[in-house]
Amino acid sequence: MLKILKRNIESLHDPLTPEQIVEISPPWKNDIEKFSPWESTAGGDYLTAGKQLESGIIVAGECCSTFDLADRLIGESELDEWESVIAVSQRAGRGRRKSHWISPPGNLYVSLVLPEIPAEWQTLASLLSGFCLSEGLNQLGCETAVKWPNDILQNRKKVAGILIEQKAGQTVVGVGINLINRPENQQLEGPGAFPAGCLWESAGRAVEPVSLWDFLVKRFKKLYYGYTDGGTVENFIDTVQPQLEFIEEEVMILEAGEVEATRAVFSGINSSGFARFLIDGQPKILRDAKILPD
Amino acid sequence: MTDKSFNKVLEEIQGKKILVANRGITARRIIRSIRDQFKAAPVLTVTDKDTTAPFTTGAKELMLLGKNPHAYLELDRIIKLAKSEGISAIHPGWGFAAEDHEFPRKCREAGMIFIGPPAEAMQKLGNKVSAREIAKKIGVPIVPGTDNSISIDEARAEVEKLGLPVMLKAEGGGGGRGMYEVFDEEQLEDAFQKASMLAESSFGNPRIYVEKLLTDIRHIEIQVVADQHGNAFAFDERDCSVQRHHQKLIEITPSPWSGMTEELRNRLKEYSIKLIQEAGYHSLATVEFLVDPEGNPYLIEVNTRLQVEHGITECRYGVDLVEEQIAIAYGAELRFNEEETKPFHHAFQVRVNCEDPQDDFSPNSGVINRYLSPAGPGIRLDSCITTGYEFPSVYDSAAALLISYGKNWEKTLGIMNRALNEYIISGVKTTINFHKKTINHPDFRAGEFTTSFVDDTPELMDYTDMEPEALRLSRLVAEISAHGYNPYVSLDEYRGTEDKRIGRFKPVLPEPEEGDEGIYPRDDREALLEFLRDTDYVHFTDTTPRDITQSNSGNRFRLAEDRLVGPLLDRCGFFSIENAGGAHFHVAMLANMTYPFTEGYEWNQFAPRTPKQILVRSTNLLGYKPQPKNMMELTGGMICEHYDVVRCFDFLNHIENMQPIADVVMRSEKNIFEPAVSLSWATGFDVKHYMKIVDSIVQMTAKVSGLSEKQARRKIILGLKDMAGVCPPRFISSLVKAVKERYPDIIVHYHRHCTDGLFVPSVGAAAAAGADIVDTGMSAAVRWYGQGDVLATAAYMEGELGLETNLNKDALRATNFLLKQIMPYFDRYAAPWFQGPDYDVTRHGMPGGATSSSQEGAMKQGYIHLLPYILDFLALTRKVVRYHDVTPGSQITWNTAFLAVTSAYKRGGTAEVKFLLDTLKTVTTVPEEQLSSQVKKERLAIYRDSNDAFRDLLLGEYGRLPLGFPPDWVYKSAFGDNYKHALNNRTESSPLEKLEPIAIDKERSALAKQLDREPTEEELVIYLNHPGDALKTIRFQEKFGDPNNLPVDVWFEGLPEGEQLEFFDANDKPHLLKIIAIDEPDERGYQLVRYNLDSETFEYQVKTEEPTVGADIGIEMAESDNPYHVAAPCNGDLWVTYVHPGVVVEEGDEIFNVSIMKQEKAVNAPTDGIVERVLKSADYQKDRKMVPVKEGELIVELAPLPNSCPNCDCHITDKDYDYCPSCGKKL
Repeated sequence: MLKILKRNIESLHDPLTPEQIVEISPPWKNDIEKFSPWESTAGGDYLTAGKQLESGIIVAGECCSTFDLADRLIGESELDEWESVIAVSQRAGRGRRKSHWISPPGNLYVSLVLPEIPAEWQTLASLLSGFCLSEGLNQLGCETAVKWPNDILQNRKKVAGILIEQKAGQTVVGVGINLINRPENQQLEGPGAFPAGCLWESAGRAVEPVSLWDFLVKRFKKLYYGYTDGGTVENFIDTVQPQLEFIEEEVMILEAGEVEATRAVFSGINSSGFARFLIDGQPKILRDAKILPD
Repeated sequence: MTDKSFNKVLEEIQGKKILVANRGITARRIIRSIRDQFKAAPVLTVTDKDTTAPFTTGAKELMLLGKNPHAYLELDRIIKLAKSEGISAIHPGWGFAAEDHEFPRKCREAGMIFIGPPAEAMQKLGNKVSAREIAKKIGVPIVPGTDNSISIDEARAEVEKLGLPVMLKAEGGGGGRGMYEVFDEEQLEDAFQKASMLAESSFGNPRIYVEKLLTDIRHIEIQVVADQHGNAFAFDERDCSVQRHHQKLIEITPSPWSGMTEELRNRLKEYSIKLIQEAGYHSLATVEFLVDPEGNPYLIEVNTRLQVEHGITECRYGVDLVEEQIAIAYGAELRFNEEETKPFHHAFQVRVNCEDPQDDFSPNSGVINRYLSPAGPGIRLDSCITTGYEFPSVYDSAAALLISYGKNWEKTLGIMNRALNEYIISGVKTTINFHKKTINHPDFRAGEFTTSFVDDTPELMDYTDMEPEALRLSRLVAEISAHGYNPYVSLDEYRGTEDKRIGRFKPVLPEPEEGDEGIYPRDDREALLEFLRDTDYVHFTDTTPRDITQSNSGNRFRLAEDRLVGPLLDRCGFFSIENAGGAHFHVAMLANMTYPFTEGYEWNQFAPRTPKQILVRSTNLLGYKPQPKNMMELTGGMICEHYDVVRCFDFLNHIENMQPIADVVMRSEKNIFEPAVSLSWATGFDVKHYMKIVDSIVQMTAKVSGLSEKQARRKIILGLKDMAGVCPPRFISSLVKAVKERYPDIIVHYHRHCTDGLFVPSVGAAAAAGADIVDTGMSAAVRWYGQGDVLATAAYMEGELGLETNLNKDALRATNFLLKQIMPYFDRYAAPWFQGPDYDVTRHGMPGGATSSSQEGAMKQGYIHLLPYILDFLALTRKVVRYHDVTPGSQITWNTAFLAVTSAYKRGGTAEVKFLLDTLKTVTTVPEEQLSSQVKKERLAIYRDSNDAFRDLLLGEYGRLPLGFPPDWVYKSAFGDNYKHALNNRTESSPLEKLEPIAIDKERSALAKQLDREPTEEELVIYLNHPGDALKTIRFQEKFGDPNNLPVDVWFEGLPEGEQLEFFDANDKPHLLKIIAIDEPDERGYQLVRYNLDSETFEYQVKTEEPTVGADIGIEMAESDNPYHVAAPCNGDLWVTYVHPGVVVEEGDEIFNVSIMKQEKAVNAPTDGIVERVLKSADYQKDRKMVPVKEGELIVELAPLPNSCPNCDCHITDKDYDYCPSCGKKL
């Protein structure tokens, strides 16, 4: 399914016509043309694409946040498992603990509805999501790696962020990928924020958000079930641990609630997905710590 | 006539039971009037929560209503119970069901008297619409506008008529909701549409009506009373303009506003009485008006009950309104009339609520652990709290009503100010400080305030809620005493309450002497330097307050001890007292929670004669990492304020690193810059080598000051710093001679440690060779680290070397005498291991203080058997990688040695270690060309386990190594395969070059955010240098006050039971503290400490042990089958809570969110209800703190929805109502 949301939802969604989308965000041109003609549905709420997709994608205009829009659509039974909402831009994109995710047009902002996470994977879900996404990007020729807990880095710069929001009976993964824009260092929040990068620095490369996400979500689903259905938590950890950015390296970390950074060696993760560090030669397991950039 | 009627009622009521269907302040107020003259029996309704509350004491009987906290609204039940108890009359108080017209009706039907108006009259005047109609009818002005809803066209016409600005109001709204302000003609259409749409979705009713928007208004009300015989009386106005969100905070009678004329007053009274009479009303009522700046009044509503602020009217007139209300209910004739009832006092009331004004007036609950109420002339207090009372969260936040009354407005202001200062409520946050700010605001005092005063005056929130210092310090003493040692000093638990302690500190202070003038000029660099050049005797610097007392984990002198010793040191004739810098700066905060620059300031107060000296590192100054120039200016500036001599060292003698701080200090005419050469004694580090460094120092100072070398060297002092104390007397002698030969006019200052035991001869040799100033320590404090003894050194110089000194030996003796009484406390808490001098330091090179603590560290990690090997490694490695062992060099060396030896040990035991050392020995003795390839391979193991700091050193990140880079194999060993990269990237430039300036303003904001207030300049500087320890110190002092007000014995050991302590606070006020008892730890691990502070008794709980009964003590688990219990869904961190007690939630509303591993779980309300308890709350966005929670832990408890509107307390008669009929709030 592929459609553009026409409906204006006060403070949640300002719709854009296909022409407006291209005007605001030229990288969308190819996709808009590729999937045209866009025709109004019977109810008038959507414009369905001329060419359909296997994955279910709803394209939104300017959102306050795809999380909120997804919530609303789920509530109205418009969005199912493995279906996504992509926004052209977000006014109030959010990251961890309601910090701000800068979302100008040109990058990819998606919320993907996941099925219920099995019990033993609960604390690993965000790490798993990171891997599924990173693998997908790598198959396209990028060289990304996951930094614990689930930031996606390329050349040690953060190119994508993932956040999982869970409410009664629903799990939504929010993904923000810097395709061609990245925020300046001053704009980044929080002490020790990793510098931002984007996947394709030169705007010359054609970037088609819908096609890209279609590819990524199919890969994501395959890997997700591959790990969760096809294997155990231990298998997953054994496979992915060596691929984690900074594995076995000395890093500076900021523990939760601390002001000064500590030197530590990142030794990997445990079966709950918590990080294992060596601090002054002593092993320590931390659930909440931030690996700082150089 | 009237008196007789009242007396008749007195007879009638006597002995009868009168029920007060209320709680809190209201209840107590009414009960008092029931007792005063009527001698009736007050009966009080109480829910289980209120049965033992302070306000129940006056009641004769209690009517138990059971568990439900909202039972005060169950009218039918109350009336039924009342009837069966034989209640004669019921008083509804204010709030709850006081304005529910069913109440009087039901009372009447049950044959009881309702103390209030009759049902019909209450309904007529209580209903807003009905009141407006009556008002219109009788010519009482109301807020102009349409009475009914209108269309957009009609609205336009109305706006034409009324003029802008107007308010669009939702017909279904109320209580301040559903209102749109329109200031512009163009806005109207849009606003009307929006207002209509919003009204539709909020109230289900899109109809809008228009009212004139009154701005700049005052809230003026008239208290009226009428009897059942048609008599009515109106009192002078109450000005209630000081409000917030329509909640009154301060009420005043008469209004201090200049626009309140006699004419307006009479007009308002007239209107009020007419309204009452038209509605056939009797009992008490208050008619509320809004008055515009021109003095035009507009009726808003009528309150058909006794009001919170009635007390000020009672004070103004000297009457009892409640008594009158009761009498009237029983048919008495009104006793008030124009002739006899006259006003003579001014009065005003502040509402003391358990709310935090700085946090949006959010309600507080908790145990009130201290309560001292104000009294004296002109004070009236109506409260419902007392010490020990647990203020509940489930009712309103009113704790007390404080009224002051007096002859005029100024007098009442003065009395209130005094009373607010007397009023102490601890354990919950209250509005007391807010009121203090408000009543002292000039606009308030001038009567120039409208209803927007609180919102428009943010400076009312500018206050600090801090308890008096003596009280805070007493808690610290309680904590230390319960533990038996001080848990904040970062010491280990060397002693506890069971061990023999040194006991009370009762120092014998030497006789105070007549002060001479100080010998050495201060605040004048030239004068001080000239003085040194003009004198022939040897000058001394005392390092007791710094270098001797900073390293060992127990001998960190505090400012408190400095205050005792400093004045004595001041008279000894020292050139300078080294009282700051080095580790002392950091340790002052880490262990003693003292502000370092405040300490510096005080030193110059109690020891004004002697110049002060500070030690700083070239790149880091006083901080934990290299500082950019702009930060150095800030830190350097503050340093120059308090310290005359600034000694600067660089562990690599990379002189370029000293430039920035040299620049700052040399610019000042008052301060002397003392660049110091770091000294070690080994091949390559010979006199020739050091002379080159001295040359570069002279060159650098010339460059920085823009003077010639000849001039520049006369403006500084040259320091020679042998910080491990390894250079023998003959060496230092030749070095000093060489310096003096090349630069005869440069002042030389020699510093040496005493660990090797050769302090006296070395210092003597230096002085004999021409050193002008030497560092020594006070005999009583001398140990095996730091400097040697001043008296012995002086005696050696005078007796054996024929040199002269100018010390005041008597003063030295007196100082030592005092120190001997202080040192036992520090010795007791010094680390007991590895004590004593150690000549081996010349071999391994670790400075004295570091040796003992490092070796102790190794021992504690179980490596004591490896110590000899580590020391061997130290001796050898310094021949490979050459630099000087002073901070941070000494740490780097030690860590390298430690890591190398322990890692080797882990790999292959002692054999491996010995092999490693053999290799290292070979490498240092056999020339490179003769080494076998086998050895070349094996030597790569030597540095392979080194850490980042060592590697950074090799890369030149700290600066240029004094003898150049070590050989390439060292890099290969330390960096492994990457080593070529290291070789290519190493640098010899100063690490300060690459530093970006810091954004000082950004840091200041970050600090302000952490502290919740603007930081002082000192706080900013110490935060920039050591953020973690600075925050620790600031917060510690906010919590406990200045710990230097406690003597050293209490600081280390606490106060035993029965002992008394006298101490002084910051204002020099004396206080007396006595511990009465310290209980044994309970099952949670807490000990209760009971003590007297200045004749008040306090109790304080101190956690000294881990709980014995399971680790989850203190966590309440949710009941799984209880629909009102909302639990944490998993182990994780609570980062945001959306509700607080009293908030109404609907099923599915998100109430809090738990985060784990970048997954955020929203937790929703399982059912409709009202939030009763919030056990844990968080607001990460605001304070960056998260609260760990366990799966299944109870976080929020809900209660079923009450039958009244949570916003306005109006009784909801129909369960199907979605919106409150009175204020429109969604239910």
